[in-house]
Amino acid sequence: MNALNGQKHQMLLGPYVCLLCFVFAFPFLSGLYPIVRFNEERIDIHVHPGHVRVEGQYVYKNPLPFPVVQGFSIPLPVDQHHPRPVMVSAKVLSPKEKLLPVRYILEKYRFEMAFRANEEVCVTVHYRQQTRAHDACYILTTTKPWRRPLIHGTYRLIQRGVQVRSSNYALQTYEAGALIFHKTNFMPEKDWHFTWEAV
Amino acid sequence: MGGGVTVARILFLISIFLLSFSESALANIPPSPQSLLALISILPIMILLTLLGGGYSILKRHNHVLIQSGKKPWELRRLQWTYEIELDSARQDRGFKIHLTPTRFPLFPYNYFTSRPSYLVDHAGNIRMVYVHRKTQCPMDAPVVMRLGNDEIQQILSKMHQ
Repeated sequence: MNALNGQKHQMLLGPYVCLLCFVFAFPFLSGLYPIVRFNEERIDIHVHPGHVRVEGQYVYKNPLPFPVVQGFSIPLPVDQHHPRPVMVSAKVLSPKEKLLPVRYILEKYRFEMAFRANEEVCVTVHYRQQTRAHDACYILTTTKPWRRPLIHGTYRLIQRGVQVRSSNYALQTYEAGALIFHKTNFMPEKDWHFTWEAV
Repeated sequence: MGGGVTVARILFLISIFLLSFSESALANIPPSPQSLLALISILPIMILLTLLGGGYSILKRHNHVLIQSGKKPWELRRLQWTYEIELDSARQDRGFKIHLTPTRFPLFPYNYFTSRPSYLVDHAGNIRMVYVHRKTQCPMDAPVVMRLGNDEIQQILSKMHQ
């Protein structure tokens, strides 16, 4: 009888361990809970009369002395005036250039990345979004779930046949046709909204 | 004890479900932007073929032309592997519509966790898109996610001729 009970307990153990492993790993793999640190970002937005093309560079660091896998989702501003962005792509720039497969799962673009122990990785994400009115938004407030402010952030608007009219973050002229703002120790409270007109 | 066994079975089924979902989500769904890039790269040739007339039959007949003319023929092969391409041309006004309808999805119920873009392109260069869970054509009133101007089409054509 005891041996039978022992066998049943062993049979129960497998699924429990399986599920526990999955439940433990899921928040990290899905990007719900951050393991790595989000330290820097550099955002270039090319503003065209009818669309924007976003090129973001993001620097993440694994603070742990062992390898980890982190899931990421790409936050995209979508409403009735701003259709879903297209041509969403992600690529590791350093330490070694590599294309990352972006997948659309549970209504979000997602990708995963492996980090070596204490490794710092620079990733670039690109997308293009059509705009019906001459305004657009870049989501900054998703820095909050990373639970630490950005060490440094650079945000640039490159005007392509347009004139930027307004921005809720103060912009400085960077070079001909480009406007910029920098932030250090930055935990954004609001997203970046800007408007323009065709010239 | 009976309750324990039932719980174990449920946990086992949940584990299988979640593992299968991971498998179907990570392995079977091709990266999203590829289909649109492929569509854009072959769009000018499709326009030319449509202007010649003949719709889908000409697309099929000139399949080898399409494949040979692109610098990256794998893009079209990949597109045809995962999408149904339907050309709807009206020769009189030289207007046309191209439906790109995804054909490959994970098995039910995993198709409801993932979705794939279904496209509709018109002669004005408007690319409409909706995300679908099963083989569904993009409706005419879907939002325009991209508008290709003449200059962009010219750029693509010149890249093809390089």
